[in-house]
Amino acid sequence: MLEVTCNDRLGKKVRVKCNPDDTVGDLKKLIAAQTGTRYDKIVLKKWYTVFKDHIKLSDYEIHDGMNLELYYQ
Amino acid sequence: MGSKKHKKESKKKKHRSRSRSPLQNEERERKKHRKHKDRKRDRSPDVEEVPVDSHLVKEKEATRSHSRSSSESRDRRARETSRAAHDDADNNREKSSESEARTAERSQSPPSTSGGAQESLSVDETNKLRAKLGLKPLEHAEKPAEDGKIKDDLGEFYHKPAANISQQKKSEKIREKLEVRKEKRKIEQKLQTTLLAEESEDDDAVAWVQKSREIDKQKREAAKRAAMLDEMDAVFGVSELVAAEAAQERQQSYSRHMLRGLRVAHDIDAIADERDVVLTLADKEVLAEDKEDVLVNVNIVDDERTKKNLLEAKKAKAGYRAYDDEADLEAAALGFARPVLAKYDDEIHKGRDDKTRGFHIGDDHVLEAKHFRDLMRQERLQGGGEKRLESLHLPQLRLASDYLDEHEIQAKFKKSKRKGKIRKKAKHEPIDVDDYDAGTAPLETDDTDVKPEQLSAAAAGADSDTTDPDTELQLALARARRLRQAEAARSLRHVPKVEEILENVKEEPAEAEAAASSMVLDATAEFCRTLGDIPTYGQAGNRDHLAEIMDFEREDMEVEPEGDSNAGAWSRVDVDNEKPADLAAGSCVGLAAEPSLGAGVWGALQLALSKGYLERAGAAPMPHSAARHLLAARHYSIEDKTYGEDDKYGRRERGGHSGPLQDFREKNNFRPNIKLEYVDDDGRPLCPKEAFRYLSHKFHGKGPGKNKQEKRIKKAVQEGLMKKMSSTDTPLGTLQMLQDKQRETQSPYIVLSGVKRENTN
Repeated sequence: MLEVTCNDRLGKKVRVKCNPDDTVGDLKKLIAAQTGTRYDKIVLKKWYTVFKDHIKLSDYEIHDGMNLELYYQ
Repeated sequence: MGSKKHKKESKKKKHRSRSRSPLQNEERERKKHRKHKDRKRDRSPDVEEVPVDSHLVKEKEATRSHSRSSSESRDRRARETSRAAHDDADNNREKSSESEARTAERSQSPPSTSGGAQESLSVDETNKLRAKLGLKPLEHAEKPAEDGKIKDDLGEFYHKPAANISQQKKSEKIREKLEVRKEKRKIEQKLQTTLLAEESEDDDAVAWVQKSREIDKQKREAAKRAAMLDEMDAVFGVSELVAAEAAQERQQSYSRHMLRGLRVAHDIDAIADERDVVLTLADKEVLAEDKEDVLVNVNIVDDERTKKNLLEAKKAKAGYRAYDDEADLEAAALGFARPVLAKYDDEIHKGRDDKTRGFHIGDDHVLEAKHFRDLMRQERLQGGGEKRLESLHLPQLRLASDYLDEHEIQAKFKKSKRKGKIRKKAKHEPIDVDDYDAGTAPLETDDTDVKPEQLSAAAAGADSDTTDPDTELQLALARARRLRQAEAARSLRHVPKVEEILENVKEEPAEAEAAASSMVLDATAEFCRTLGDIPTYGQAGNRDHLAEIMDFEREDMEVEPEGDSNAGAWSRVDVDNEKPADLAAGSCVGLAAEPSLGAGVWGALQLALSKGYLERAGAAPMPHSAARHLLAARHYSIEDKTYGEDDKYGRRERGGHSGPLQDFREKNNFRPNIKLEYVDDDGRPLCPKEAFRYLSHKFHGKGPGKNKQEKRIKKAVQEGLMKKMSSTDTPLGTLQMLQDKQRETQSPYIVLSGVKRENTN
């Protein structure tokens, strides 16, 4: 289990607990459940890397306590 | 903080309440009552727990609102979406009253790690959510392995935990301490002996007294036993034997008379009188041939060595000594031989005399000799005999002062007489200075009267003088006296009055006075002098060389004594011996009279000679160029003469209308035949290249190198050879030889085989 912090820097900052073998899409769903945004409107980024939905967090080497940028499309 | 947020929310609620349905209002009413409760709860550390189903609630609400009226204001929905999160919280509160169990659940949820404004679900809530989303539940965080190993992120490898340095240190310290303790214990065990004080403590003073008494007793017994043994010895006569032996030994021992004849290696002076000096046998080589024992005193040996070293050092230092040492001077004063070039006095085998040095003990005559020497020295010091001793100590040096001191002022110096030849001015008479001093010489004033007796006496003196042997002084004196006589005689004849004297003075012109014994240089003479440079002047032999020096003052000849024969007497300048030129001979001083033509052919010839028309055959060569060059001005040129004016006027004149006055006409017919040929030192013509090289060498003042020169010479020689070489034959004349052979053999061929030739020959 790991906990990821997502911040859109507009007032929303959530900490989400997830598994390393969850996909980014799953994470987005969790975030959507916590924030109330639709998950298909969420974009997760780290710097200029846009995380794709079908890839696992562990493959992106997303670890516990990491900060992800939260954008909307 | 939480409370603040609540306030905000309450505001929002108020705001919302206006637009909400009455049902909701009712709910709010209820909530108002619960507010206090809520606040209390919010103050607790676990704040802002978002209920798991908040978004569901929201969704429900949304659907509800959709179902209620799609016409409901869109703006409101937008607001809702934008504030979704806050609404969620709101909703949560609104619903909270419905489920008591949920609150219990919330309180159980683990406190979120960060106290920031972020929302995080608990694990359980997340699991529920995941179940709803169709995801597998969260993996439970593995506990770190019991053995302290930590799995890496991928869970594949175990990592050995890093060693805790502080713990290590602590353990090390403890270990050290333990070791120290151990050591201490060991040492203590080793040193554990019963101390005196500890021991004596239990024995007490009584025991100590007993012990000491025992020791005393033992001692006494030992002494008693020794006495008994002595007694026994005395009885048997052992002690007498021992005593006799000792006496014998003493007799045989080294005594004074044994030292007789032993050599002491020091001067007898070195050993101070009436003082004990410890002498030891000097070291000597084991294999030394002479077995003589020598006594030395260590201190004296040291002294001698230092003295010698000092001397040597001085010698080494003194390469050149302008002044002698004081010690040397003193030695000289005492009549000792002074060393000349002492640095070479070093003997090569100085050590050899060591064998004879010193004195033998019991030798009385050494002492006597010393005594005698002392006496001699004393005598010499006191100035005995014909010798006079003078100290060579110089007065101490002082700083020179600028002023005379008293002694110097009072001191009067006798003027030293000038001796030797003095070039005398042509005065009337030479007068001896001694006579002046003695007061015998007459003053030269004319009014001094000399008495006849005096005169006669003087004459007598003079006569007697003449008989004397001819020494310089006497001759001079004699002459002086004679002069005096003559003067006196004249003055006797006619004693002048004051008027006469004055007249005499008037008569003599000042010039004449000045001209005495010197040359007169007037304009005429100078002119004549320069005439002397005329090349022909004097060649004709008509000039009298002596004429140049003819205008010397004539001496009154009466005053002139015997003549030059007296070489030893006061010598006079040669000028005085010059014959007076006869002024009558020529009207002019410098120029002789022109020879007259009228005296015949000889006269004509003479004239021609004098004029320089003819040259005398045997005449001395003209003062020629060499001397001339020396005389001529070195830095003189014609340009110098005209420099000033030319510059001033010439230029100014030309300034107005400069340019040539004539047209420039080209010289059409001018065909100069120029042939530039360079020739080297040997006269060989040079090609332009060579010429350039030659000039360049000249210009730079630096000739070609030796090799280059040789090369060039070789080349030139070869060139010469090439020129000489015949064009039809080889240098060895092979063709000629061939033809000769052919002629000899009378065949059109020649056999070129060496082997056959031998045979034929």
